Amino acid sequence: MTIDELYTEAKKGDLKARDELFKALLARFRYFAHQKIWDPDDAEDVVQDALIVINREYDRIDIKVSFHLWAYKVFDMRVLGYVQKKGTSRARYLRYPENESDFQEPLVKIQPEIKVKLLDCLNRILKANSRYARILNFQYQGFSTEEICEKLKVTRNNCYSILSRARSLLALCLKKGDIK
Amino acid sequence: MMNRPEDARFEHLLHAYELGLLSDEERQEFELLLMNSEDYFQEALESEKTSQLIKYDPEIRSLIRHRAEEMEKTEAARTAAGGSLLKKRWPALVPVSIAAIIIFFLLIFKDWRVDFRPQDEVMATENLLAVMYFDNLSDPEDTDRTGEIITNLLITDLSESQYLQVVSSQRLYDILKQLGREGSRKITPDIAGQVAEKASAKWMVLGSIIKEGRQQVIVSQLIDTRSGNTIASEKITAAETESIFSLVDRLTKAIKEDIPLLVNIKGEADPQVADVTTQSPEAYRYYIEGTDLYNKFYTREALLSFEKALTYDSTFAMVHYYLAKLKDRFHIRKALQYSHKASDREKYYINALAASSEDSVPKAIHILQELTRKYPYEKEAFYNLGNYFRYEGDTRQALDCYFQSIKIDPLYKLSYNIVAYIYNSLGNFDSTLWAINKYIEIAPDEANPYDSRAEIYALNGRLDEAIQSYKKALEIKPDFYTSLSYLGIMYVYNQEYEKADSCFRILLEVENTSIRAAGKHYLVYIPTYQGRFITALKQIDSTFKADSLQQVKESGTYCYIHAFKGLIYDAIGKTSEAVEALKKALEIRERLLPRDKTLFSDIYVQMLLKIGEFQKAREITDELHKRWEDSLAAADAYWYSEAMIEYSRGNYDRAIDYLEKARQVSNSFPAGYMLARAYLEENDLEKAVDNFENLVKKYTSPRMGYCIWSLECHYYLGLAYERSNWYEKAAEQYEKYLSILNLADENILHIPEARERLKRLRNKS
Repeated sequence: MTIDELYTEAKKGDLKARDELFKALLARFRYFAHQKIWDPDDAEDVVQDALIVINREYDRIDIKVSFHLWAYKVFDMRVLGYVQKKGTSRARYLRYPENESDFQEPLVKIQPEIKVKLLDCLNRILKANSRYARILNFQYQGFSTEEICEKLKVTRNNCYSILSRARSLLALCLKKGDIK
Repeated sequence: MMNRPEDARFEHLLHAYELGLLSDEERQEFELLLMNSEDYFQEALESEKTSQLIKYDPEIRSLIRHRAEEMEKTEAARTAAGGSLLKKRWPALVPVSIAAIIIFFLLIFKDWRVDFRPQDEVMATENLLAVMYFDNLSDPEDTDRTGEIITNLLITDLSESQYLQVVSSQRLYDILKQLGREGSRKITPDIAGQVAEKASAKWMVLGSIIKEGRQQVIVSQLIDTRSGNTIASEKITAAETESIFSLVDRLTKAIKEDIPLLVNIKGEADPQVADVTTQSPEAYRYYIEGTDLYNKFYTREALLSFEKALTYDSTFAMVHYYLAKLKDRFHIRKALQYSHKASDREKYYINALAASSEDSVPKAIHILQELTRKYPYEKEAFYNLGNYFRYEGDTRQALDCYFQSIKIDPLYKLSYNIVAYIYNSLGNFDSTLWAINKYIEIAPDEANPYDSRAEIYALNGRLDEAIQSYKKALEIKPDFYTSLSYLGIMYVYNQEYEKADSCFRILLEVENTSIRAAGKHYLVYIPTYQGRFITALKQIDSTFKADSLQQVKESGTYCYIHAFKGLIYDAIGKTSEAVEALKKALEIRERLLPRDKTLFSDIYVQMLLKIGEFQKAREITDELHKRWEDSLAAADAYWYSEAMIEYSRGNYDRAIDYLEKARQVSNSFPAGYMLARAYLEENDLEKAVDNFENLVKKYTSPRMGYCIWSLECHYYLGLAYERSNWYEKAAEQYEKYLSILNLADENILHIPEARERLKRLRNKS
């Protein structure tokens, strides 16, 4: 069931649906928060804060059209508030941890042979066209997509096309061992 | 496999989302997509696992770092050999780039196209029939539009079948126009073939009207468009007293029986076309004329045609439907009353409009969704759905609906129009231009496409191009008053006051009272924008006096004029008078604009706070909060009011928080202005500059409605630049501010401060 369907059922008094609804919201908010907020504790605070508001308002108001839109707005406003206080979303990339100790434990182990193959392919692709790297460089320096396009003198669509080609080449390289 | 338009969108946004490449609007759009779709969310979670792995695996990071050092050395060598400056910056940043590319790899085999415009210009052609204009051979000029009426009635009658999709008359008209045959009623088999191909129709009906003695005869042919073979021919001879409606009924029945392979169609109920339209050919003639004008946004003319249709048949449900859209709610009651005389699908439209006019937009959405389930090719239903979703703030869903209508009919101009605006609001200017140019391509001889393009230019700071495009719209239709009003406003921004005056004065001569009232309002912009506030106030008062003497009926525009007056009072420090003017505006709003339940309430709160009426301001804000629970549309007024309360207390950070929320809901000029000011108060200069720059870039009508604040933007932007040590830019803004206000009343606004600051900056340089 979608969030809106769960909401409709929950509003009819279905406690299981209500439980499911808040679980679905929690999962989504955590996922979204992680994309925007680097610090996991801060991210969780924002998520919980939004859920508290939704839980409180849930009994008070009756959303007729789009509950998911309303719930999202509640959450997004909190993310926005956080970002404003702590700096823009760019800060996430600028504050990319430099020390090993700052990194969290990996969730899954990557296969070593894939790493080697990837780096080999990467070398080939970067040699073939440095623009791929430049786009990503700018990106990780915190430039917005518009700024990257401006710097590279390409349109937004072209920017994505370049990245798309890079990805296709990587796929090809991994399959054939070369980009030719 | 791409099953839905969202799939393509999801595919190309997912990777960009994880890399943080999306703009805030795109991010929100993507997250909203995940909010209500379990499938997409699960797919995104799968992807997330992979990217997490790349980010946190120490061995990977070690490999990346090692590789980065190697590249740094190589790059340094290249630089020494004359490499570009840009390349110098690259190596240090390689690690994250490599990580990013690896993430890309792990998310491979995804389509990465940015736009989700309809990829195919053509939908499935299953059971699609195109009815060509019937050639009136007995009257080649078709002076009484008999050919057109028969064509439209036949389309309506055949459309009642659940087994058949019929190309609408509007689409037929659009295709002919594309083929350079606009207005042509004579369709040769060659042209008919081209039309059918463009419409992707499986069959087409060609017909002509002839006279045999005193009898009217309709001859038609059903043709297979792929082979060009004639499947069947029909000849229907009218009995002496037989009406055109009965003739069409007989023709419909004959055509249905001729259509091959559709066995079920022969047995289905076939309503009389007069029962689902009107008994009056004249009423029907004016009705089709009205709908054509309506789709061109020629509302005054459409109104006249519909009103004429009613004089022939006051029980014509769909005429009442359109009049309800154009005029007032009274007609929706009539449309409902006579809806038993409308076709099945028209009943849905009427019920949806009735629901929305009772503030039940969700119900209207539900009704239209039912309609689209029953009639999946009903493009107008998707278009209307899009409008309702847009009203509810669900841009994502709205966009999907508009694209669905375009997918059904690639020439559906109305959707391109709105899509252009939506893309513009999402900051995607390339796609905006694509949509608006498509609209112009489909309807090059109509005024509205140029009007829309002009507005889009204006929204993007391209004032001269906006003016040219408005002029083009007026060239096509000199009495297209929307364009005339906006052209006048653009001239005010361009400080071409005489030209603006001449535009607005034309509006004063128009018969329509609302347009005349708007003209009076716009004329006040001219002195106000120059800072001649005393003149502006006098002008407003004399307008009211003259209207009172001439017993001019009060219109909703007066609400805007009173509010505007309030803002002028506020600018000259007469805050109590400002509160009174706003109060008056709200009183008029209650009487004459009952649907705009929160209009100016927030500005009223702002003024109340200025005179220390905190309690009252709080009460109104609480009231707005209650309204927000009923409608998301009231949210911006609520957030704005909360923000003003915090602003008045000096809690600028909290005001910022609220204003950001207000701006997210509606992106109104006041919210943007106060937000920029709050950032300036907080000394967050980067954001203050960003916000003020954004405000002064957009030449909109709402901005002109707050033209005093719009002027102040230049001063505050100068201030923000100056504090950021961008003295040249600061001086530019002060100069701009003072040049606009060079004829202003003495010492108003920040004129003395701007002069002083400019002088200081000049001395510095």
